[in-house]
Amino acid sequence: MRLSFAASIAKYKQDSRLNEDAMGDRASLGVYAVSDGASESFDSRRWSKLLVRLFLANAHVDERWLHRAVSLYVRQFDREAMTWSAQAAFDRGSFATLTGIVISPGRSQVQVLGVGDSLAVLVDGTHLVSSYPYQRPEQFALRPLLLSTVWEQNRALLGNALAGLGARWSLRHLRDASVLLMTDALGAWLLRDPRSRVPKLLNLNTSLQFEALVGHERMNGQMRRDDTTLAVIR
Amino acid sequence: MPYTADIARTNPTAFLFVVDQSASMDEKLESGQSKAEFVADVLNKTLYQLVIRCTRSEGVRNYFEVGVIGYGGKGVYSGFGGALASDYIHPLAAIEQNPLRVESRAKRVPDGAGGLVDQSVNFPVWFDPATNGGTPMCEALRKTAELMVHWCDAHPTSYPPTIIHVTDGQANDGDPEQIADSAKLISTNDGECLLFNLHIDTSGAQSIIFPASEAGLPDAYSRMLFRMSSNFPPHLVAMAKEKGYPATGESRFFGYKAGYEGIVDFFDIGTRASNLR
Repeated sequence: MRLSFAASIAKYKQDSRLNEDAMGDRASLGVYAVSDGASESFDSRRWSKLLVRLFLANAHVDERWLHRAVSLYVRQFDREAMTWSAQAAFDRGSFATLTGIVISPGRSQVQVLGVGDSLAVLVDGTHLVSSYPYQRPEQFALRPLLLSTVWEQNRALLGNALAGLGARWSLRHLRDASVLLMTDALGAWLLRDPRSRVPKLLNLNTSLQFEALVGHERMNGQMRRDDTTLAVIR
Repeated sequence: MPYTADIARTNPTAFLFVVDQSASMDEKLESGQSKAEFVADVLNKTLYQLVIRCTRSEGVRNYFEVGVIGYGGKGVYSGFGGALASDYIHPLAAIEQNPLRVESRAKRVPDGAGGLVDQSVNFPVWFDPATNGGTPMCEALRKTAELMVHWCDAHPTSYPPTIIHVTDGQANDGDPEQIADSAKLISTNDGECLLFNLHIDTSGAQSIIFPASEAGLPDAYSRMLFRMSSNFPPHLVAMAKEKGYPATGESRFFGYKAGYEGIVDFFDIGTRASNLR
């Protein structure tokens, strides 16, 4: 399995540099990840990129991993040199999801880690087999847990909680397995009609096609306008 | 569907605070602060929250424009001072850059290793309490309507402005109800202006927050303020419920004889914009 398609579109095309989604792959180790930075954050773009980078380097996410991520983020800023508002916004924090997968060397299973509402989807042919963390589109209305750059705000994720946030999918007995990773606007759209929408995503070949699909679905009210990212591993 | 426009720098929304600064605002609340001092505190904290919610590492994003109107013995005037006094409504970045002063205070924060450490934090002040004279509420609401017509004309596709009016008494320059009704009809393509009325009181009497009907309101004045207030827009219903208020789509964004907690919640819920992504 390898990354066969990857694309990301900003919420507003003219603001593409403000896209707060991040994604990455380390195909040689079967590791892939997406992260969706929350808008009301000091620098969620930097935070989401850092989370993906660290996951690709070490997919064993635990309290120590998260502590290191927070330290590396904080080290990039000089709080004392900031304006009063930048200090307050920095103290308030940055927030992001992280959904990553590790495909076992024998291609027999996929380990999924998911914090927040970025979606991982297992597909066989064009049939949706499983999804994590959500299975129904209305679940995207829930307020998701996010990884925070303020250590105290990660309390719910400490101890063994992080280890419990994920799934394990067997690929045995699947004839034509693919895994899709995507951020929430696309995830909610997909789960509303997976039968017709999984093939649309699997048939994408270029980022222009992705842009056209997302643009069309946003315009007809089927997809919420937000930074939108997709990775297809097959 | 109204009240669904995305809020962006190219499509900002506006908050306008209309604050009674008449002599009676000098009366003390249970906390020992006067009504004027407490409202000034809450307003400064609200402005602070609006700024930091829109501050990113590269600077302040102008998702909001914010205005303050004060009214009292000196008539109707911009509630901002200093560099902001020349106009009523300003983009958020201008507000961030021009507080009257920034007070430095020590705050105990976790040090990440289980202990606490002192950290210097800054508290900007834009609005000082003042109390003087009568209550020209009608003149203030006329000015409000004038500002909203200009703003909506300049921002036709924006989420409509939210007006938060704070008073402790009755107008002494006429009947404000028709003027309020006119203000509520001013609109952008995304809907009509929202007028939220907050009446504050030191009597300790039972407060009424977000009622769904006039029935149960104690007097003609409270019923008038109720009628002057907009219905809850849908996304704020959920936020009010989160804070424990049984709000519905029929509820009016109105508080009567509100005390400490009611005032804080009113400002907090009233300035939430869920379409800010």
